Amino acid sequence: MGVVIKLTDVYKRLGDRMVLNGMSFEVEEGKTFVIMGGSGGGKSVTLKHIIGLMKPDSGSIEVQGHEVPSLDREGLMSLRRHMGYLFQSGALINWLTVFENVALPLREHTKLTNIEIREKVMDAIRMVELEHAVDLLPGDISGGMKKRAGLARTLVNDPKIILYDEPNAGLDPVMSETVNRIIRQVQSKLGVTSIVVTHRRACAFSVGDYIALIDKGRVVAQGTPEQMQTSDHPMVRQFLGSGVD
Amino acid sequence: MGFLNDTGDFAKRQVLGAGFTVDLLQRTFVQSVFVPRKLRALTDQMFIMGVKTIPVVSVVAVFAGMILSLQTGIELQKLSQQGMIGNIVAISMCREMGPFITGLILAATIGSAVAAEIGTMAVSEEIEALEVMSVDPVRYLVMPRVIALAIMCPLLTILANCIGILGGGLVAQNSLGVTWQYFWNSVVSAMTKSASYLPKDIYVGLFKSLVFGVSIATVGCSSGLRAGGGALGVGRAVQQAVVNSVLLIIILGYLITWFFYIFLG
Repeated sequence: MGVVIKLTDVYKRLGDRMVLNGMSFEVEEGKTFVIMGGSGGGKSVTLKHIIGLMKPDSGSIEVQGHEVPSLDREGLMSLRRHMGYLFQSGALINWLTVFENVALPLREHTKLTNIEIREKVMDAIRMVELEHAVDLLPGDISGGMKKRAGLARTLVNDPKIILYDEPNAGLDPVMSETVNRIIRQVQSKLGVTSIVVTHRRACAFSVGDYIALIDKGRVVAQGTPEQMQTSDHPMVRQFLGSGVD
Repeated sequence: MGFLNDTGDFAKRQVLGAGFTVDLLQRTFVQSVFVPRKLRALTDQMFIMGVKTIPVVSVVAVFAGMILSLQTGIELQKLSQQGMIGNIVAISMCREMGPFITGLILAATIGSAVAAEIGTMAVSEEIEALEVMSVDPVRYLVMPRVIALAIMCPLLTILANCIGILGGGLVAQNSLGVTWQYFWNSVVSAMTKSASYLPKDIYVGLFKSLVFGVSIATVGCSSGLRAGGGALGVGRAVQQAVVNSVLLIIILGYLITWFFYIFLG
């Protein structure tokens, strides 16, 4: 299996704060890589660099062999069609129903008929167990449902890579476990390469093939869940000892 | 030094904002080739921006015409020239008052609404969500709004002109002793004096309102897209959109008048 995502010595300053301070890691094809760390550690900023929403001050970000910071607008759009991004809030368009939100990428980028779109959208909605909410507006559904709808919108494009930004943030333990289970199902059914940003220990150990702990904008420890569990690195011990669950 | 730094930062922000808005306008023109694929969004926006604004435009226009007629008529009465009132109301409404009041109303209602709507999307990551889905926010959000207001602003101006002239006629008849027939003949004479198919006073006014419509929608979208920092940022974006739109309406209004009536003669 080849490396699909590779960050090498990425630096980014926002205002007077160094948010990414030599961030480096690799993600293999078909694996789920979890980035753990405290708030403000640069987790979400890392994801935004990978999908090209932000540009680094220096360093290399390779996705599927493309150097993301040097891609032009067309190149970025083309790359993003193979990628999905689940935002913390779901980021659903607030005047479209759940169905229309999920159908949006298909309506914008394909010439599928309404029947074909309906089939693909309902497949994605079934995968996130949201059949009962297809006609509701984002304002009428819970935070967990918004995240699942956001995930369905990500899945409908058949992505090869999915980036999850705090998929459990703000969810109760039951809904949190539901989201973890759906992430695992997506992984096993579709075999996508994923990066999950979280500060929840249960989420990290539930979905991750590899886990990295970041602090002050760089990776301080990484390994398989088993290696992390038995690690004697003081920050890993501290984080796992106090991880929010 | 603090004052100088603040002034420098303010000037820098204004220049960057203006640059962003001009770039957005240019990208909107490029994306306007996709209008046929966005007809549904375009008609929705035309309804929201145009049809729903008819009541407020009508009320303001009728009173603007009445005030214009009354204020001018009182002075003309002293010179026994109140028969000119139709002429003056028609020319004032079509050249300046119609486009100007329509522009101001749209800046306050639609410009602010657009900035709030897109600003809320920006702070809640919806614009970034469009970007990561490879959906161009300019094509999806900005272009339908700009084209819709470019169409609806001149149509609302025509309505404001007609209603304003009618309001002026009512005052002329009831308060200034000018018969309706005499007022109407005066209006028609003013509008047909150029002997061209479409009188200059009308087409210049409509051109102004087209420019105002494009400006209001572009400035509203630009302010919204640059919003950041939660509800406070959205509030700032709305304020900025209204202030900049009103300034543009006044400045562009003057420049267009100068161009057509002084430069071209």
